[in-house]
Amino acid sequence: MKPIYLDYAAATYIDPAVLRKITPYLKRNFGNPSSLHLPGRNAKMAIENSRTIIAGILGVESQEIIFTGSGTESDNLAIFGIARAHKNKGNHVIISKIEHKAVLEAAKKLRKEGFEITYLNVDSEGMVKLPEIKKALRKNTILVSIMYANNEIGTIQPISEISKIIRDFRKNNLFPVFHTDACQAAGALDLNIGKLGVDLMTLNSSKIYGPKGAGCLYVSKNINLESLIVGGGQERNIRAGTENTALIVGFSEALKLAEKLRKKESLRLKKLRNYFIKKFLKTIPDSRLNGHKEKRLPNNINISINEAEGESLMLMLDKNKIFASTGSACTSDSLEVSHVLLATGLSPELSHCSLRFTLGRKTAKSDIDCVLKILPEIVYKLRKISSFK
Amino acid sequence: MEDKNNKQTKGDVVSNDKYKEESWVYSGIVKDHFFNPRNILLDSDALYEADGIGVAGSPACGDMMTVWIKINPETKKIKECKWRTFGCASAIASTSMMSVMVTENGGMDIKEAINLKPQQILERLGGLPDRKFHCSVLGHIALRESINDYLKKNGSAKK
Amino acid sequence: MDPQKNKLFVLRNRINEADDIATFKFMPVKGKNLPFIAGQFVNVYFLDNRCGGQGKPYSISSIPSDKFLSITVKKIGKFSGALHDLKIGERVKITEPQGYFCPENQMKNIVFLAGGIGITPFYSVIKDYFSKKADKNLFLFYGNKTKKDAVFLKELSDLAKSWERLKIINAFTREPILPSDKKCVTISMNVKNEFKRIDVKMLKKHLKNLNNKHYFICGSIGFVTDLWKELKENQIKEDYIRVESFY
Repeated sequence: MKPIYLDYAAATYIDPAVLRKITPYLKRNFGNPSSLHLPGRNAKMAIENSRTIIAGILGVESQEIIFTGSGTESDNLAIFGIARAHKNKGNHVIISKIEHKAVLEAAKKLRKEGFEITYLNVDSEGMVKLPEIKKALRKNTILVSIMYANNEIGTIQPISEISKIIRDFRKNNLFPVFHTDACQAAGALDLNIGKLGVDLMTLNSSKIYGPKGAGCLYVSKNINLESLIVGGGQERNIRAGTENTALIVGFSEALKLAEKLRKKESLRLKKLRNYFIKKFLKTIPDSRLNGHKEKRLPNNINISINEAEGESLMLMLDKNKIFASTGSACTSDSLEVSHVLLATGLSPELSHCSLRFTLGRKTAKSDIDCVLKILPEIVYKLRKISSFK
Repeated sequence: MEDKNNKQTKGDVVSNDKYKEESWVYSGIVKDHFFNPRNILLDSDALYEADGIGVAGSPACGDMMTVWIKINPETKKIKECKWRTFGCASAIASTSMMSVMVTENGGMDIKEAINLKPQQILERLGGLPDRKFHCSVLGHIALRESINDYLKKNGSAKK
Repeated sequence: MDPQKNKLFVLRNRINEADDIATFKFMPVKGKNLPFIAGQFVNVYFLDNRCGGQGKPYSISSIPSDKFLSITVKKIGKFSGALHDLKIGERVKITEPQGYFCPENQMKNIVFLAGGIGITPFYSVIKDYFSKKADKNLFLFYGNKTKKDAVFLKELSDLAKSWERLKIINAFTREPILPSDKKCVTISMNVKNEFKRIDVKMLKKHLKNLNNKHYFICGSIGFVTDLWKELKENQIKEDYIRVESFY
């Protein structure tokens, strides 16, 4: 059985071209970017070059890109960094109910620090409701954070429209600032900051065929934030720690490549995705698609299959060398079912029965046909074992 | 290779396994009972003449088990134990193993079966991470409910 | 167990027993209290969806003759946290008491092994037996990190002082004492303090003979599983052991 990997939203392989770019920095170009001698300067140059590449893709200035160690770290830096630096201006933060745990947990912690958090509802397809945002904004709101595209159900938020609402509200003031987690959007959607109108953006490398362990936060130059990691003053004193040149180089190279392939690849994946969705709805009775039908990531398929539990589905697929993920409680450390699915109003039962397939560069139509052949057999087997009438 | 299963109850991925297969999420025994579950009620449950029926969990929790038992009226031992489970691999494996434990060697007598502990099921399964403990608890509750059902129908009910 | 077979209860009183541990005293909104046998547990449900509609089991810490139905809860997670936030006068749903964790009439020599908040069902059983001056020989091994953590420590001590049938061995694993002082300390005729974790060695020391006794173990998964294993390794049969794990 040829392995079929369909969990690209969790992790991707490193593109060979990216790996080629990284390797010298793992071998002979090992200098500390803070050192003033030649090896140090070479490393520093590589980092600044990467910074320029990423800034160019976003359409912003180099100094507005801060490198971090992950998307989670960037999210934490945005949420804690803004809230703590500007708590004298206000203590109200608005986030959506379907944000990544990195944002949700940061907000939870802020609550304990005395901040007030408003959690925006989403509709049955995972969209935030624009009127609700308008209503939630207050004089003492300092931060709004809404993810560009959701990692679980793929729903794409209307970021430009949301930023317009926020800009209209704040008029000539700086606050509230608007942050978006764009980790899943990279490589699939337009990241141009001017068009999106955000003040902060989280990106990472691990979903775009780059190395794990590299992320960045775009911070508009008009905004300052409190650092999380202090020490040697790297990244303009915002994020200390010896920079991992290899990973940063890999990140920028991966993003460059992803941008180049974006239009063509998105089209190709969308076709495969729609084919998958159409076929599975036809062949598996009593199942449904989660998330928005059209405004969803080109590679995302999230389905609920009644009477077949998510972890069991996933492990049976795994035996057949098909790799996907689930929103079932059984696979989360907290033993809680996917907060994203629950927020869309999906019942706990159906949330436990969810399966997520995310396609990638190596996915071919034959892979999907293979999955669609095996999945019904698995569903049949589990439904026979299942306790329902 | 040493069998480290009994010490692995906290962790997930098991790479040392006496089944000497590729790594799996839980023990080799759990894997076996998940892919080859024993004693599932395959026929229509309306046709199965159970002496006692027990249910534990709910679909909303993500785990639900139904257990049907047949008792030998003379020996008061469990003759048959059929089940169906909606849930994760550990839940399916736990109910399967429980059904084997109560019917093997001529069957457990009711008193012993009522006192069947989740720990006993876990031990036979080669252990599960703590966060999966509730799967074995549900198995033991479903069994107990089915025995209570039988006792209620036959005079004396214990809770 | 049918969540439909439940009754509405209202919170009448709350007692803070120790850090993060409180006793909640409920009374039925209508009609009589739910009948139960000491050692049983109930499932508690909130009336709204604050914990996703799921209920959780808690051992009853009151006795059948008490006016209130009490549960003693340690604040560990979301559900217990929500219970701790309950206000007097708020209502919950409580299901019929159930469980097999009750010593039977023919059991004479009973050993309770409690790990932390696992004391709750034993507290109910001991008080119940005390009120009836039951013809039993009870041993309680009560494990905690420190004296401060040990809920009902004083109440149990007082019970043991006035009832020779109850012998208590408290076992503290992190009580700050000098290393050399880790010896057993006799507090009163029936109460001793040990400064290590409960194991079969300690049981043998105080029970002299492990046989002809019925063991009830209640506590965390680890606590229960370890002691269950040790008892079995010492040839104690399965039907002389009952367990209840909190998870």
